Amino acid sequence: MKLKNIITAVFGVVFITCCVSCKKGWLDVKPEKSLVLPKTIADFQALLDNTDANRGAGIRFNTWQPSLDEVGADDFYVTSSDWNSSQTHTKNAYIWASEIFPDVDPGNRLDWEYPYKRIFYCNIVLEGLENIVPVTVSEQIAWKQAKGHALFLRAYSHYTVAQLFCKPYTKNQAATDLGIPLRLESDINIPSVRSTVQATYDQIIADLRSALELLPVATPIANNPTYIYRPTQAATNAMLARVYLSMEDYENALKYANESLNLYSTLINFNLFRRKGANGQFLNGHTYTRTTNTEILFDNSLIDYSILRTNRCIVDSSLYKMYDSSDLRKTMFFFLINNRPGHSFFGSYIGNGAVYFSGLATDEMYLIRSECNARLGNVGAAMYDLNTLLRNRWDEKMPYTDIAETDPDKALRIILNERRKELCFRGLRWTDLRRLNKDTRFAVTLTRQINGNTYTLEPNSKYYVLPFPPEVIQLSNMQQNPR
Amino acid sequence: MKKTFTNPCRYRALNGLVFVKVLLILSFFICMVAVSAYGQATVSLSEKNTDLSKVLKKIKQQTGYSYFGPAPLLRTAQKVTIDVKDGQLIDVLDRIFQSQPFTYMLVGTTIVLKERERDDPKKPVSSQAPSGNLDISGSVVNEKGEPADRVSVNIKGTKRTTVTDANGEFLFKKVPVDAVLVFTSVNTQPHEVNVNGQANLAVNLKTQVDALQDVTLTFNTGYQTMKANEATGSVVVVTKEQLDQRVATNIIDKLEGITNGLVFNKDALTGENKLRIRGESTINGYQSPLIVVDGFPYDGDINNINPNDVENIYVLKDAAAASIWGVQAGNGVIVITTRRGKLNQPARYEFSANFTIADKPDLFYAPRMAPSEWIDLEIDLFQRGNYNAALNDVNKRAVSPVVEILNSRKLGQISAADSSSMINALRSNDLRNEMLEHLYRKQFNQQYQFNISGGNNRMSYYFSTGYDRRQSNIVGNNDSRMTLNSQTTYLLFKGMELRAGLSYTESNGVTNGISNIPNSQPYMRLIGDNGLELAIPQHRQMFEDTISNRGFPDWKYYPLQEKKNNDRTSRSHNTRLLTGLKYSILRGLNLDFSYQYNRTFTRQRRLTGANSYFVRDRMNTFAILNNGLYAGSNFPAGALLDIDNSDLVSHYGRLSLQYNRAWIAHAIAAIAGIDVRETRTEGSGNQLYGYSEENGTFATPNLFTQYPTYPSGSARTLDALANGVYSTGTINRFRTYFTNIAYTLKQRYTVSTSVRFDGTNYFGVKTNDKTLPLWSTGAKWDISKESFYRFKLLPTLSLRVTYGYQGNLDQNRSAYATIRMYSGAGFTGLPYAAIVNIPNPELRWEKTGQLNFALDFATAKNRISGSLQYFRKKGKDLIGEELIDPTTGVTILFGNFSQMRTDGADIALTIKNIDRELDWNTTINFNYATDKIIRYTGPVGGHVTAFSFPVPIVGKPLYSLFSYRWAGLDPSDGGPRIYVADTINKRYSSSGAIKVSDLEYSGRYNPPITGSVINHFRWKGISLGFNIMYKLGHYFRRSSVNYSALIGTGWPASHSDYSLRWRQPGDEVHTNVPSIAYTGSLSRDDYYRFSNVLVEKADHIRLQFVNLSYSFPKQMLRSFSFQALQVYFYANNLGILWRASDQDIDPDYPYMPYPPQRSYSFGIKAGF
Repeated sequence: MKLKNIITAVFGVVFITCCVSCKKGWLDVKPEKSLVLPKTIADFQALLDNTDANRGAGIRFNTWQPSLDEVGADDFYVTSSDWNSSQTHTKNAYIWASEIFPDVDPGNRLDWEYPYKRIFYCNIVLEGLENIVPVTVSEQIAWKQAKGHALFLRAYSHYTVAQLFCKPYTKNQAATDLGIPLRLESDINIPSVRSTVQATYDQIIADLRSALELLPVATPIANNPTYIYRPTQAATNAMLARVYLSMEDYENALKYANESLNLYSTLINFNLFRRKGANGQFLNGHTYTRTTNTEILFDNSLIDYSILRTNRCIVDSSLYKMYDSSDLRKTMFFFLINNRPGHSFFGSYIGNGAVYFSGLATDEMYLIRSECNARLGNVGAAMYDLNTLLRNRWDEKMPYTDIAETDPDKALRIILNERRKELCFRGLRWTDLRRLNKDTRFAVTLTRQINGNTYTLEPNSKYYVLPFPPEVIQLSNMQQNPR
Repeated sequence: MKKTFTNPCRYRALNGLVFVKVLLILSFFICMVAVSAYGQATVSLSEKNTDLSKVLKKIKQQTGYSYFGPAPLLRTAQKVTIDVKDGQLIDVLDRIFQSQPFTYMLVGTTIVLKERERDDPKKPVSSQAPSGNLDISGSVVNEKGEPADRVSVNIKGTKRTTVTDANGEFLFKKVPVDAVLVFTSVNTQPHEVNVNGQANLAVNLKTQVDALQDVTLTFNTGYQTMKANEATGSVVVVTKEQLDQRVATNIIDKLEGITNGLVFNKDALTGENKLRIRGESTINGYQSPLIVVDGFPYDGDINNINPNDVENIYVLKDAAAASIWGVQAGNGVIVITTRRGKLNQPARYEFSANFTIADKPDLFYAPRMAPSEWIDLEIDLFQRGNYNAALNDVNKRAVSPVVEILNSRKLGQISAADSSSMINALRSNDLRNEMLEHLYRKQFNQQYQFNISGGNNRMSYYFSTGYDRRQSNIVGNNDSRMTLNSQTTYLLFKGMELRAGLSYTESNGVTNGISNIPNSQPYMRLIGDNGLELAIPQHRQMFEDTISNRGFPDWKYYPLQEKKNNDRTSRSHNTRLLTGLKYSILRGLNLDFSYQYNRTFTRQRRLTGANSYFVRDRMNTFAILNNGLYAGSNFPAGALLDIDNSDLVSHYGRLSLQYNRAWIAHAIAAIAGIDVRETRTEGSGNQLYGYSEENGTFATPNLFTQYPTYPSGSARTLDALANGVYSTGTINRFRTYFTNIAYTLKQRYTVSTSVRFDGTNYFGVKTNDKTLPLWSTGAKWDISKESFYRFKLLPTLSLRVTYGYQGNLDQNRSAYATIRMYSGAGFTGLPYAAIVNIPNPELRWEKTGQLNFALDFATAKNRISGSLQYFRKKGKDLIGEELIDPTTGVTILFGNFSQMRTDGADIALTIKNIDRELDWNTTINFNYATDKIIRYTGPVGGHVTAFSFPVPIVGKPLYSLFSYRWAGLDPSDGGPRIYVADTINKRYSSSGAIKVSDLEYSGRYNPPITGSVINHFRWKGISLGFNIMYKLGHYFRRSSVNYSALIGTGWPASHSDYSLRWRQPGDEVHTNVPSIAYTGSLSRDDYYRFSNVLVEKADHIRLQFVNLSYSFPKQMLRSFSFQALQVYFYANNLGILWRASDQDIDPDYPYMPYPPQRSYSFGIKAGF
């Protein structure tokens, strides 16, 4: 029958079509459009551009910087009942307990996990970029930008870990003091080992210096927020200044602060931003935001533990009293909430009460340059920078008189006080305490009162170095910090 | 890896698909034409000395009546000469057969040729000697005239037996001329024939009326249909009759309570069905059974299938039955077969309609504080200063009316008397009553369906159309569904069968209803005494009242108006095309090709109107101020339009070779083939701001800039709605080679085996290269057919043992380091990416081994029949988590690290209590399944808070309840206390500080024992069935007071246990409800909320449904030209008959705002 032959042919054709379409490659299509095997410069840059606050699948490069240092510093105190209802590890960090991290509850290791997760991303990017040879000029620019960005973030992240989990840098001990584990490859099978403090800071500085060679000069301007999330040369210089300052290397700190300010030195005059109420009085807070604050060189903010929230932490009264009544920061940084025993911090440099800015900004550079100049004997230059900053913070209706201190020691004290006042709640105080306590002139003993108990933290105490989370020790067999 | 979306291979595949589509459409039209030609029963012939077979073929062409007869008989046929025009078929046949050496009979639409009776004078002389032996050939048909295969033919009194083949024919050599042949088969009545020297026999068997349904039916695995008695696997059959017992618009819902081994667990938070076949099988993988419709996995929404179009459902439980579905079979398989016409069946028309009405929801089900009690607490809290922060809120968010009154009093704006009278006036209100009156209504469903089915000897057809409309119990929510369905089968020529099907479903939904009013208080009202619709304040009363004086748009929220401001609709189109060709190459050997195309397009359109509260709120929030006056907004005026489109397209192709043959002592049923499947989904969403419905214009605001918000001044971006603008796409591909072979010896011993190789694009190349074989094997022994078996109490007894593997996929994992791209990073708007998979080249499919023992039995006359089964499942390569050093940047690694085991038993019993004029059957389903984690190395958290997510602890069930050990209330202050390491603890530290070893394991959350008892009575045309369901052996934790939530979020978090709270020393003797803590400590509440004192037994028995129907007697109908007419009444969700807990809580819905309401349906079914 003819039809039979046709049908047999149809079967045959269908069968062959099946076989052809079922060749090997057929199963190789990616199952989801948005899933990508990273391979282009743009893919890697996208990994670093993860600044989403809501959806970013467990990583954010602009927020969630370790904040247990801020918890342990002396910018604020909390009431016993607020302390009672805070997360366990923040409670421990607050009273400088010997154990910080409870042995269960993985949510409490963010101060460790987040920086290392960022470093993992950076390593993936750095390794991926090694396999790409940029050809065109625009590719070369993009490649450099991505690589510099990854190196910068790796250094930034390692630095934040070092402020919590290893001793402060002391020149003659750094080669033997235990540092933090440095992760320089993405392979998760490479065991973590502790470096020395010297190696830790050497790596941070090496990464930053390499980044400096690669990154563009581009300036962070309000209308192009890209460059407060993608580091620039100004930001990298600023980070180097911050790192060298923590190492008490004032020559280098001065050098890089200077470099940074040479590239970008905008300061906001707070008079432009204060808000007036209906009756012309000043209102608390700011109207500027992350993207309109033109002082920001590189944006980052602290992990928003509940103990740090505006409605819990109360500004240390001795800090509050340091501000002159003509100082606009007094009304713009602090405000009163009903039934609270003291002032609350308005929450920031970025117009958002929930997260505290901890990134790099020009005001910090003025203060670093000023401090270094004072320490190196250039008191006049130090005072010039300090006055430049303060003039922008002063109520224009109350004439500002320049501070004209010539004694290096007194000048340094003034500068350090202004550093404290300008940079409070910025995640910098703990590092300053670790550094300044070494100098008996500036050493302070911290105390806390909780539930009727008094806790103290002596200068240079071993409790200035936090223990590694227990799981990290269990899973890696690294040496724990003495407590 | 250079393979990307534009794979050249894809086009080649699509070219093939285009060809197949053309084939399909063509075949569909051919079938339509053929149907119209059917139904003539007159014959016109003009033949001269023509072969009988040719004449009969012409009759077949003209009438559809086929013929059937043993070949030896036909060889004796005489040539035919006849001339007739439009003669009646019977007359014509009589004339033709007058001159033949044999005669005929009509069976259905088959002309069966048969030997003339002995006393027939025209009997041809037998060539065999009248005594001794002779070779007998014969053919056996059933009542419908279809060839009856595998009928055993036995010479009475001897062991000599043969069996009929697929054509119903047999050849029996050397049979004594006076022998009696006994014809038996599982589904027909035994039949004896005296040989009396006849060499050709035509036997007509009657179907056994009381045959066991499970045994008589064939099993359909979605790949092949097998004789149930030759299948080794465990398959549950749900017939159309059983499905008709329940009224539902969703086919899966109908299975609850009538399907042995299919458990409907309820999600603790949503109440949604979580289907399980034989307990849990996976920790992180996909948990629901695979649903197969007409032989192919169903990718679309199962709501697209009209339940009235379903013929039957098979649930595949064990490895032997399910492993043919490979990596998707890990959770069992539900095989749905839609209705088809039958060959040789006159056209049949059916119409059905039903109406279901359900009560309004019980808003008082969730135990909440009485409004007046809540007012008292608010007064108390106000005096304690709890609302001071809220009253000073910079955002001016609403405080409750009571707090407003108290604040006015405090500020001296009103007198004490006014204050208390204003408050007292509120005490008698109850918002729930108002909501029931204005926002809820009775649910009302309508279902209509009409179908035509039938067939001749060449083709069969089934056409249906259905319309369903559901009016939700929330005012403003409705949906409807229209279905069109056509299924035809066409015999092109002998051995070549073409199947063609087309289903089209269109669903429409409207969801404008409001069931949740933000910031409402239980004593508020929706409509004032003057009949005006009232606003529920979202901001401070004064602020809302006066803001419009400063030029702001009205900032009030009117729940009853909001419905009109929004328009949310969804529309879905589903098209399913099915075509198949079956060709018989040799006797018993078929080549089958089938192809299915399925497409679902869904479009959701949500218009949030320009006057909606949402838009007004945003405009005010992003207001631009000029000297304190409203001077426009950064948020564009006009409506917001959200459109979401999703498109699902799947193609399936299958080429298989089937071999089915039976010999005297052997039978073989085998299939082998290749499956190719591709499912693509594409989704996109768009959001238009400042949209004008009239002009189609819209605004393009900057979504990345932060704007100051009013009144607080804090900065935010405009990006407001959840979905926004997005584009997604997935492609899932499967390529599978499969085979399944069953061999039966002497109708007593059956062995079966199946092997399947799966390849998918899920895991990346490495795993695909090692396509994983999943196999199963099984054996069955019909003990009662053994000659030594003489146990009269159980005349039917068989034993089955199967073992094999089922697989499961965790679609979220990949062996590669992959990143996921997102658009619009915060603040910069740049594209950004996140790493979603840490590379793990060893990742592979989950494998579950399952061992199954089954005993099938029936007592005499099938009085009691059923099966007992025992199974053990072991999940071997379950995907789990493993902790790694967080310093690596990764905290958890996914891999095939976990194991779990599930043991259980299934018992199904059918008892005929009375089998006379009054018929009473009882069906008992009993299912037992317990699971246990054997290996798990990942982190586990949230032990005490878990109830809807798994807590994998080694040695415990996947869904477990863990509790604090309650130590009573502190007699001094009524604070909750628990035991921590055997000492009483009241420290209220955060939950992380309490070790797992200090917790009590309080039992499993999912029921280990489930089942149903169905009683069915039938008397004349009246039929009454009622279904009792039970779930036993599990626990739930009831809710109770949570002071921090109560004080933080207000009345919706309240619990009526509040009135039982500790108030003064001594109360601790008779209550466990802690004293109120005004500062609201979360961990203090948790000590009580997650303690074992709130754990309740969840065992319960419920009357699920009752079905009463009346079928009109046939005699009565004939005069109205009806063939069948049935009216029925159905009541569902009738209530709990018994529960172990003394709490008035439905253990299936402990946290739901309300359980499903009782519903009543009336329906009619007519056939004509």
